[in-house]
Amino acid sequence: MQLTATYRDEELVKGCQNNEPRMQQALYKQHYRKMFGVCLRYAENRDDAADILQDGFVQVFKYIDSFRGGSLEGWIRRIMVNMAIAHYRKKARFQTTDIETAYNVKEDETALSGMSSQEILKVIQELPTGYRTVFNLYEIEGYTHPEISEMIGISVGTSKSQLSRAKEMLRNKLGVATNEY
Amino acid sequence: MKNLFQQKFDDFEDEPDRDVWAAIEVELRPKQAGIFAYRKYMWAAAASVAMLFGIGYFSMYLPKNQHVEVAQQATKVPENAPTISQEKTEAPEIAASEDTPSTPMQMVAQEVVSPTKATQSVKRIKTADGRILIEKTETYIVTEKKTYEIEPETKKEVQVAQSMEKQPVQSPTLVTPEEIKPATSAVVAAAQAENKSEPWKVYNIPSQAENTATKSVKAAAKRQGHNTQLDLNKANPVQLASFASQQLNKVANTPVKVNYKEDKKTNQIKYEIGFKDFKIVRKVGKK
Repeated sequence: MQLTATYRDEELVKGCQNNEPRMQQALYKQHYRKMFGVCLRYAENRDDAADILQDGFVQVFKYIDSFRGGSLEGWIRRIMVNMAIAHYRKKARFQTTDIETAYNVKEDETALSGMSSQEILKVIQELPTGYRTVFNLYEIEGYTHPEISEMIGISVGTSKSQLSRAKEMLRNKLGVATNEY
Repeated sequence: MKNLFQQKFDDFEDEPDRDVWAAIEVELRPKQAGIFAYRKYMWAAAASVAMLFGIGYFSMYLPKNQHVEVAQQATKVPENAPTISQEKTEAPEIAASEDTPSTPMQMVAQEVVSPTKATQSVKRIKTADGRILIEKTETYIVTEKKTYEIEPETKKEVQVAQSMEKQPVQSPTLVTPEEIKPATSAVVAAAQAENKSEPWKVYNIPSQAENTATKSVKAAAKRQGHNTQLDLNKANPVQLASFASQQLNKVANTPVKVNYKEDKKTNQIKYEIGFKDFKIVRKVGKK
């Protein structure tokens, strides 16, 4: 991507609200790489992630008038997450078991910290859609189980069990403990 | 306090494999895209018209030297005026023999319009012996119309040009074998893992293989300069499937067939990527 002028968030928002193509492109260029990183965590592959990115930015420009200040990156990120959830809601088959599994695995931060983001991402992408979505929302985005249950349309218990199973799978794949960091 | 995963992905960035911005622009500004498309059609139409003129000009006019409009001058001197020369004094005549068309065209009708007087001028000329002569010049324009029947070969060219005007030709874009090969290899491997005894049986192809096959179709679409989502779900799927099939056939060891089918009951379109011994059926969207 070629170098372009960097604009302040206020300038970008105002330009996009005025539907200026130059500013829309500038906003995209300033945020797309990071947002693609977010999309990759929720998607099964890079192609799906690109689709989510595309749909997400279309929503960003469509609803830019509703941006009420604060962190523009955070606002765009929430849209991307919502788009990722919408993208996989129809695809995901969340298990309805409300069994909460507690894992008390010995902590092994060293192994996890020694891995690259790309390596961890690869393992996350291998998780089943439901597990991956809940894991991302809880562990990385920082949402609570009640919030996740509302976002995805599952029960709080299911959200917890999905997370537990996701952690177990990750632990097996990464060979590290994922319940305590 | 951030956990390890949050720390790992805090500044994580990556670059999409395709030009996502171009696709976003199409969605944001469909009208401009429409105008662009309209312009494309206009260019095609203009090119077709130019071609028609070109064909007409070169096949009918220049090689045959067939003038359809002739202007001649005639000099008419009043009867009572002294005669200076024996030039023609009546309305002009046209030599028709020069215009006889040669094969492959055949003249089917001819019409000569009556001469039309265009200009008139009178000039006084004083001779050496002191006489005064009056020279009156009248210019006539004679229009001759001829209609020719065009031979089949020429007709064909005109028909091609007309069809181009109606349906702009898409320039073929090549998908490199390297681009398709990983996809086809994955699908072939998946097929080989299955029982190959029943041709065209729908096998349970692993999603990974299906994804790579889908990617090959998308790659074909992308190479054609289209938005993949748009093409797979909305744009001319038959053409796309045909193109993808051709590309896959180039690199696969077994015959490949890509079909789009309309399920009238569910009103959905499915595509099938079929190799020799199996096929993948996938719904790609509502009609």
